[in-house]
Amino acid sequence: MSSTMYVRGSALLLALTISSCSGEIAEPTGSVPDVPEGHTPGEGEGRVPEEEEPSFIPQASDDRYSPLARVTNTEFRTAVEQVLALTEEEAAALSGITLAPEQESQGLFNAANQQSVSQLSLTTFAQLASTAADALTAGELEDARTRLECGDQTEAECARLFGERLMRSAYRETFDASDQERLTELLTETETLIGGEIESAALDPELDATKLFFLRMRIRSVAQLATLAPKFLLLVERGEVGEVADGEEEQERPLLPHEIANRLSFFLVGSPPDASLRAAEAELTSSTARLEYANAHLTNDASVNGIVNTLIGWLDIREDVDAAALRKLRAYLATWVRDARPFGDLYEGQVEVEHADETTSMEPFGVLGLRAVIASHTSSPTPSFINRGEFIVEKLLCGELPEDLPDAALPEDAVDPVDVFEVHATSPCATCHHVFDNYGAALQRFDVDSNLYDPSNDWLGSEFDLYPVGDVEGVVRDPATLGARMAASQQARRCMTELWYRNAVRRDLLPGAVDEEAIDELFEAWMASGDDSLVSLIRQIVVAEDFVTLRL
Amino acid sequence: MASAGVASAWSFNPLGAQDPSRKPLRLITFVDHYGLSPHGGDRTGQWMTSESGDFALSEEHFEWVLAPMARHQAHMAVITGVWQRSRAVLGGSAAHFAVNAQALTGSRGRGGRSSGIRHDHPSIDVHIGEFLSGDYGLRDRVYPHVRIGGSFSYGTDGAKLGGLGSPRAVYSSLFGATSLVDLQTQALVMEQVQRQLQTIRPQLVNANAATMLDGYASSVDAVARELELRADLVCEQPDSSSNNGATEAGVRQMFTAIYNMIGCDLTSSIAYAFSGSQRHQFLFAESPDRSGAVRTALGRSYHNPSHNNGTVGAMVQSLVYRWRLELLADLIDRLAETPDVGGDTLLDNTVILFTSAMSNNTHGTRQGYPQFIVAGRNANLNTGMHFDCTGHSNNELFVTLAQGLFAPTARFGGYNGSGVYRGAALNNGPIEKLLKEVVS
Repeated sequence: MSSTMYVRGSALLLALTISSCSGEIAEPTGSVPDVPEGHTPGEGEGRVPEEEEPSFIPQASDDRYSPLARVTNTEFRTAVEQVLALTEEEAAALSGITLAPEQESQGLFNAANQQSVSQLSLTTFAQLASTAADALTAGELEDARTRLECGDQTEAECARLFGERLMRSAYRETFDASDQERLTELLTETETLIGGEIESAALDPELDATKLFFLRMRIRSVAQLATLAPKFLLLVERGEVGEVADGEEEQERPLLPHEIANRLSFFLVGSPPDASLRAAEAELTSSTARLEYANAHLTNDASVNGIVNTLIGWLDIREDVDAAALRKLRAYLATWVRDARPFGDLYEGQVEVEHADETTSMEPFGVLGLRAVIASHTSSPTPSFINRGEFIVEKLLCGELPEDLPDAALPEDAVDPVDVFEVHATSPCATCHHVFDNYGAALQRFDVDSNLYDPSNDWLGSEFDLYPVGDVEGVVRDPATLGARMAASQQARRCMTELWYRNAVRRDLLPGAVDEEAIDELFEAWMASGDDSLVSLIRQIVVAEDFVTLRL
Repeated sequence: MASAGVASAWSFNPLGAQDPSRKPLRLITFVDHYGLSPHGGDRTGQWMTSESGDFALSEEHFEWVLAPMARHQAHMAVITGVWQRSRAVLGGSAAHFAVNAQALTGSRGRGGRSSGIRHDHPSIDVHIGEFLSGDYGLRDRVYPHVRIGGSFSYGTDGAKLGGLGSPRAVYSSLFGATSLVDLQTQALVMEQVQRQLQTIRPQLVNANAATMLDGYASSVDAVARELELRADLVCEQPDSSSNNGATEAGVRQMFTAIYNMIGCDLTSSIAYAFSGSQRHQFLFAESPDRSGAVRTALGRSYHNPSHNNGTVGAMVQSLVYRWRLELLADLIDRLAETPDVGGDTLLDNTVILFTSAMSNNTHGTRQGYPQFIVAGRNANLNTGMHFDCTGHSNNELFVTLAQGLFAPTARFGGYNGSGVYRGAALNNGPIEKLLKEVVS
């Protein structure tokens, strides 16, 4: 095995590290008074003790509070590409960098209450940011200087100005004196390191190669600072402080304009607001302005792509699914979204279905007939109706399954689908299996390789009486009859409403009725609109007051 | 097999020996999700010739699947009869996700199904890793614990820890720095990130924000400390990497990564969960059964035979287990050939737990796991033995494992889905016969 020595031993490092930080992280303090509207911190106020710092969010002692959200991995990638203005080719090159796994919550990865900034996520974010930044300094020194708009500036000055531009773009909020201080300190100390390295390695500072090497280092470090900082990683929502009567608990706040811009942009295009949206953010408290923005973006590639990404996550598509099958699914979903097709087409649109003899046929199965979906919910050479049924009931219909499965094993001789299916119908297995088996069984015409069986070769040759989940019930025989029930279902539409509501507010539903009521209102408005396409639902969400409200 | 010459190029971080009374012990945990299928209802011909009573191991006891490990019998404690009783006592589903969640925690998860299971306490690999790198142990590992492959380890707060799923992710995340100057500038960045966190923190005072910010700040500190340690590290970087951990090459590279992580002193505890989506066509040449059905089954994802308890499923699992044990045996060879501090070898200071989330493909069976421990001479574990542990719980085995690495652990797991301790019946202390001495 050949090897690469990749780090030199040195005693040089890190008097500068975290020992110079301000010390232990303090626990949250007690009640902190709100700051009156219009308050501007005066000189020196940034140094006051923590208990005297202004709080823009009241204390909350339980988890009934809209939590602090973090950008998802996908959003991080997109945002880095955006703020560094990478080309498509450069962005594609970043796909080889694996980010830390994320916690899924019912098909979404942006539920703030499930997110964290772990050591691993920071490490992998840093790696991606660094690699992305290297794209800006690829080639010769002059190429890099041109790309970074250095003009006549020195490399050090160029890096500082680039860093300032980058942070203004990355932080979405005002780039303040504190951020300027962070950048200046970073670059000052970086210059010290560079000076030391040039001296110890006896480098010629005037050589282009030397200049390029250290310019690259500076750009990497400012890119890392800009993208690892909380102002980039966290989507802070404080809301506008209102008046609360004595003895009453504040329940909600209107979002601030820049917070609405954040929500809108991440919701619709999966990335931070661009310059035009930031410029127009003052108008976003108006539902008309938000609708205009949505209408202008909902069918563009970035938006459709973002929506499809969300649907792919919701459909729980496995990472190792065949690439061609995934492309086919993406194309189907993109058309369904972009063309504002009726909701029902999701489950009964015509799709090309593959057969074991490598022929194909057009069938009205919607996504339930696409290989990427079937393969992602196929778990064995014997029945997959357990997985498939659970998926349909829980994910697609938002149905509830019993919390506990009985503590019993399959009999050892239950090896083929018919045996297993029949065993499941007996006690105690039936406690749960009667809920989801028939949903999955309707898809049993797809074999383990996701091919459609010859229709004459009916698996079980039976009809399956669905356990009622909302308005989905009755007898089905195959993917077409199951798809037709799903397509007609209000339960399925209400479930879709819940998905996109959670996606918009970036958290799991709060205890109590407040979120359920909001979802019901959205669902009713969507149905009343006469257009049950997904983009219509998204428009309803964007114009709703809940979209611009912070729940406390 | 590794050449001993590779090791001579290494210089190991001696900080692990800062406590002269204790050796720099490590734990490697291998977990399979699916168990080992019985042929015709038992494992005759697969695992051990006898699973009854305690006895000294000899080569004749190793059946076909376990045979690659026979050359390491002196370091092995083969454990049979242990019950994964936590599910029986604490309740819960027999589905993969629920079984996996209990496998290393000895507790029932809470908060939902496949995607959202949490615990209130860590899994055993994390518990021991924190001990080995914490206040009572050896502080100077870059990572207290590392997960590769699948994700079913749980952190100190009970949250599921993501595993690094491919060798490329492992290599780039754990070995990825390119120069000292890079490390230095990254450390500067972390300092400034920490300061920005402190600046915005007072503006975000509330319970949920505090949780997020605490974790964020701790992670920044951890990354900074990692950078500091790596700057002092001289270590061999693996030279190639696959982007898919579910291939033959990917699995081999994961084993290489484990060796390098141990050799580089990056961590005290590594947990590797084998992929359920891997296909094993390449093993057909090794199959005693050359039927088309076996060929087909090997070409499907490994999860499939876990639901097929006929002879085909059993053959596939046997082949896969044997192959993995061949890789493990080679890894142990390399550890045995590589010097560690104080004249010891890496193997002298290493404990390996090889276990499964279920005993076989009938998801409800919770006894007779295919599991064993490999322990170096500086661990507190008796080896060279088969131990019949009938009547003992998996929780007790974990207590034993912890004490085998000198962690003063009296009980482990036993929490129900609400986080309430219900595990008195599961926790009766360590299985003393496995230990050289009971740790108080």
